[in-house]
Amino acid sequence: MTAFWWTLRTLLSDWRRRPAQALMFLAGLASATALFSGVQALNFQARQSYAEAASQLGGAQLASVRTPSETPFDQRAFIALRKAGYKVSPVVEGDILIGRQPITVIGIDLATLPAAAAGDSLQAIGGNGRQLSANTDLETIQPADFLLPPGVGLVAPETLTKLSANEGDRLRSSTDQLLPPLQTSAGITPDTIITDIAPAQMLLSLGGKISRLLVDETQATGLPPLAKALGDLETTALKGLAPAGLALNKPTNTNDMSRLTDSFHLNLTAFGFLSFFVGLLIVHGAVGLVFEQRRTLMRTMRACGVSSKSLTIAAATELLLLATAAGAVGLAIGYTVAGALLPDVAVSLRSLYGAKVAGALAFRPTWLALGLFIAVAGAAAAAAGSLYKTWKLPVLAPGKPTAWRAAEQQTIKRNALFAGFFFATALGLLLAAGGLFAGFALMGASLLAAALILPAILSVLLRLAEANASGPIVRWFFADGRQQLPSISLALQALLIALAVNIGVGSMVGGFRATFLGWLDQRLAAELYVNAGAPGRAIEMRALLEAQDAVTAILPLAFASTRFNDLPAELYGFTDHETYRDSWPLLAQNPGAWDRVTSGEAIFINEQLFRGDDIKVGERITLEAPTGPWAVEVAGVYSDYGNTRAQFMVAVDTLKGRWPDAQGDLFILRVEKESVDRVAQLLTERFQLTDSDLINQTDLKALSETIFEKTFTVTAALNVLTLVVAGVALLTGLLSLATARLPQVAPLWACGLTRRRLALLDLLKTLSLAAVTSILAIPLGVAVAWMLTAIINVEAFGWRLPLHHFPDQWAGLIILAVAIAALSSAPVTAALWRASPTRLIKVFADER
Amino acid sequence: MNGKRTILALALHVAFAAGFFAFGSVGARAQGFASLAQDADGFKTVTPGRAFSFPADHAPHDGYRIEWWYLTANLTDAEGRAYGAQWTLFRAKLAGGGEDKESSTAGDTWSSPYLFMAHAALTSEDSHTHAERFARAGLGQAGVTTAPFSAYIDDWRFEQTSESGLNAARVVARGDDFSYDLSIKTDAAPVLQGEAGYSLKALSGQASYYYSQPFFTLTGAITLDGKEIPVTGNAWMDREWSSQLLSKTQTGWDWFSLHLDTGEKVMAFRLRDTAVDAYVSGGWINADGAPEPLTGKAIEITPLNPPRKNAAGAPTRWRITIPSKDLSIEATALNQRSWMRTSFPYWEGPIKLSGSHGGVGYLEMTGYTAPAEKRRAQR
Repeated sequence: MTAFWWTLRTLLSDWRRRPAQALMFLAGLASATALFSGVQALNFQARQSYAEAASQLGGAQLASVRTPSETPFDQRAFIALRKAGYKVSPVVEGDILIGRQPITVIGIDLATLPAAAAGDSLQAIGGNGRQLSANTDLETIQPADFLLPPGVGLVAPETLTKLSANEGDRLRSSTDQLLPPLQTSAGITPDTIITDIAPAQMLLSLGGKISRLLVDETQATGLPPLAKALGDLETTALKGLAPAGLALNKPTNTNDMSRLTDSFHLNLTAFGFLSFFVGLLIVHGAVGLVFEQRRTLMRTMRACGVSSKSLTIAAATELLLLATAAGAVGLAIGYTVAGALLPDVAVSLRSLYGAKVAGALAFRPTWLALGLFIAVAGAAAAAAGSLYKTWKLPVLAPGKPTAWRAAEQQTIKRNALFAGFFFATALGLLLAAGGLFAGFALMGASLLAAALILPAILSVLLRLAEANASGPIVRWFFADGRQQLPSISLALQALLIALAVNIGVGSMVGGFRATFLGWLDQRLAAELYVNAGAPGRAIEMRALLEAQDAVTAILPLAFASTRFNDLPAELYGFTDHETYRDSWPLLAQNPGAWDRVTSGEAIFINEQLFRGDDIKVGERITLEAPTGPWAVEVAGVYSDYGNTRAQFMVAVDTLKGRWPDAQGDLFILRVEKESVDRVAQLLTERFQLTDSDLINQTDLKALSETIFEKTFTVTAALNVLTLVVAGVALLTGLLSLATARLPQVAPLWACGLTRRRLALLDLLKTLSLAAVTSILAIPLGVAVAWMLTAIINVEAFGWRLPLHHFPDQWAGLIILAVAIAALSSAPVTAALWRASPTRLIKVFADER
Repeated sequence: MNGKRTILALALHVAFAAGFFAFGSVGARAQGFASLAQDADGFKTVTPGRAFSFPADHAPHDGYRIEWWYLTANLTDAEGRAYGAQWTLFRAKLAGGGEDKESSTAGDTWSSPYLFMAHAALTSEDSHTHAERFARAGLGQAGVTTAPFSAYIDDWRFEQTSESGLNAARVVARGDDFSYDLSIKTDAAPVLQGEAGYSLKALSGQASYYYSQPFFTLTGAITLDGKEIPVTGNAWMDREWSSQLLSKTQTGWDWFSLHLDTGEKVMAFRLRDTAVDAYVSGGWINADGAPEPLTGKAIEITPLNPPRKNAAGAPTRWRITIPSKDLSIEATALNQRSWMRTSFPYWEGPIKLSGSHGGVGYLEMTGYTAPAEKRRAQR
């Protein structure tokens, strides 16, 4: 044990002699862990929020009764089914605005709520017997308080913070309805208020209506199945209560939100892995370098009697300690990064998918364990080769401090072979595979192949340059570069990947912005979008608008929801007008498409359906309408960026005919530019419209742009971090080289080259390598951009963007890369610049 | 934690604080004491000298904290096997004061101050199954109407089938593993308990309005384990309403309804107390329906197998003596495990009588600890 302890101490103390390598190892592993665990924390948080939302009110266990398009229906259906003997419980759900904050209101009936629906989220009501007998929990809500006016509104603590409210406060909704006093309770989805059905109906203006019925898991004996009863009662007890009929829906086990957001999270994960991989490259380099530098030390220890087994175990233990330390630092950074990014992620998830994700990061032990495991496993993977070499180290092998460099030449060749293998894999994936995962695998394989071949390319370039160079200093310059290459090739590989990804993502984001803004102009051609809210008001509003000269067109709209291929889908009913015909962004269409769709013979589908569900123009598809299945031809495809759901565009009258419960009191208004504000003001005042009832085109465009900026914030942030990691790699690579450099430049100094000239030559060399790497990164970046827009984006979001190139961005990146290289080599250059002659002379005394 | 049951247990804990159900919940017992001490402020109070009229008094009485329609039946099948059936509807006012009416006038249908709870059970020698339902008043999910009489919650019904008055009725309920459909009839008039319907529950003045209809005869069918069994028997209806039933030191009660072979009926209860001797009271009902109140030493109720101190369980063998009527009987539970594992657990089941008189009856015991259930873990 003592022997082992001293072996370990000896190995650990060796790091003191090599602070640069220590820094490289720790920084590499810490940044790898940080990015990986940061992304994991974001994903964990989001997934937990989905799971909570899905399991809220027993959603994951309980079946429900709804109308086909999930519109509210008469609450007397609840009574009818209860009186028929079925254990069902009413829920009313909808969104309100509090200030500018959208909040979901869920109303429940405690008397009939199934046990599985109460779950953890309603623990605040009543508490349990223990609390009661202790009689200390005065804040526990009494059920009578919940049931009787004014009721209680249960919210997550963070929702209370977001609303700038305190416990017990009664807020007002944007429609000036008074909310029940708010009380916090754990386990409630963010941005959600759970309250009794009575105040909920009032807040949502759904008096006498319910959104769905929860079905208890156990039903009384001797009753026909509920699905059958729904059919049987349709013409009797349920007659007229839900015109579109009621249907039994299975529990949402595979919850829609998880499925909808899968691609978003895969995107994040892929970036996390990419960064992790770059970090591991650094660790691998550091460990390899240290091992070679320790050859003499280890040979001495072996000669002193330390067994190879003992030495290997000590080295492994050392690695474990360092990896744990680096992992801990990485986790701390990762947690901070995730915490900083989470609000943006939450906003994009809410905007894109309507998913509610808690804005504050929760700390989870599993996440911590996974992060540390990944750090240790990553370090082990990166160091496996070196540990093996330690195990096999011949006792009497002479310490050859520079022999590893010769071996690295072999490595370059071997890596080139691996590169070939990965290129082949990438090609295979490109030709044969499909799906988002394959898309990322393709990108990974391509990047790996490019990184592995990079040293070989640089080596060949340097050799060519050396062969064509004249003059001893220039020849030395290239030869020295080649000799130096192995030790900084890892950093250059990291730089290559970081730059390529940067170029790729930059092209995608830039291209998106260019396309999206144009598309928004087409899609939002009309000036005002109005929700009348009720049929009576719609008629009155129409009359008022028709009297306005400035209003050039009033185009009724309708919306309905349905399911297509087992996922939620939307139906958009439009009124034929040049506003659509002239500017609607159709990607493909059949001849006479507009006329056929307007007459109800055909429909348009959005790009998501076209690509994701592979529906062709001219194909017939069947939609499940409340009035029966509807087989209809697809006459065209329109681009629908940002929509995560499938959408069908149908003539408004056809929609209302087939979906009697469609939301219909909506208008698109064409208004003369100078009169937009006046008309908006007129409508607002006359009909007390809220922000969500009357939307101005300009505001909508601004909002859409914000959503997309937020969506790409995460990508952009990870992008920058990857570049930082590459910079750290370069810095640590050069630092670790610094001490080894002196013996190589000392003879040149002795030959008469000044220290300054040597330092500048050194700097020039690093900068040239960085510049060449950056230039090589451009074609790779273009390839990445293509993979992102043509494969990954299509798989992830269902829409394809045109590929744009931004040469000015590339130039900027090359300059940035060279600047990073300059910054990284600054300490080394400065050291050489200021190296004292005695140190340089000492080289000769020490070495020879 | 089984969230909903606890929530509703607590909902009713508040609602039924004055009722005996508060005693059933072991966890809530401490709070139960506190609630019992509450004044009946905001609720109507029970005073002697009330005039009863039928069928009007079958209807709910607004403004009281708690009211129930309670039907227990002793059944026998063709092979002579004994069964018991229970059908109970409770109506509670959630808070004192405010609206006394069932339907809110606030414009929405959900804000009624009344809440209904119902229990149904079917007991045989070797099984005891039960179910529980809740409903808010004012919606039509549960309610009680007269002319014709109908007490209902979901598809459970106790409704008049006779032309006028409550002389014949149909009683229906179903749970997850049982159901019954019983027809009851009688020619007798309801019997006022206590002093002309004023039933004292403690010497400190807690009381209820209380009348019974113990003379129902019954035919019908029960369904147990998916098998329908025709049955005949006797049924007993209790009607009681109050705002403050028990004193603050009373811990639970033991209540008996007895159908004697000789045609007389006996109601007896014992309210256990931590401070003073148990309060014992009852009523002898002659075969012609004439009641004789039994108070003080006129009736003695003794448990023969009381549970050990602090142990779970309830006495299932009792001695009842009424010296003035030469009655000395032993009452034994048909099924010792007749626990109602509802939001507030209590014991309720059929009993057999032996001794000076034979017969059958029903026993209800509250304030004991239900032993852990073997089949499903009890919360």
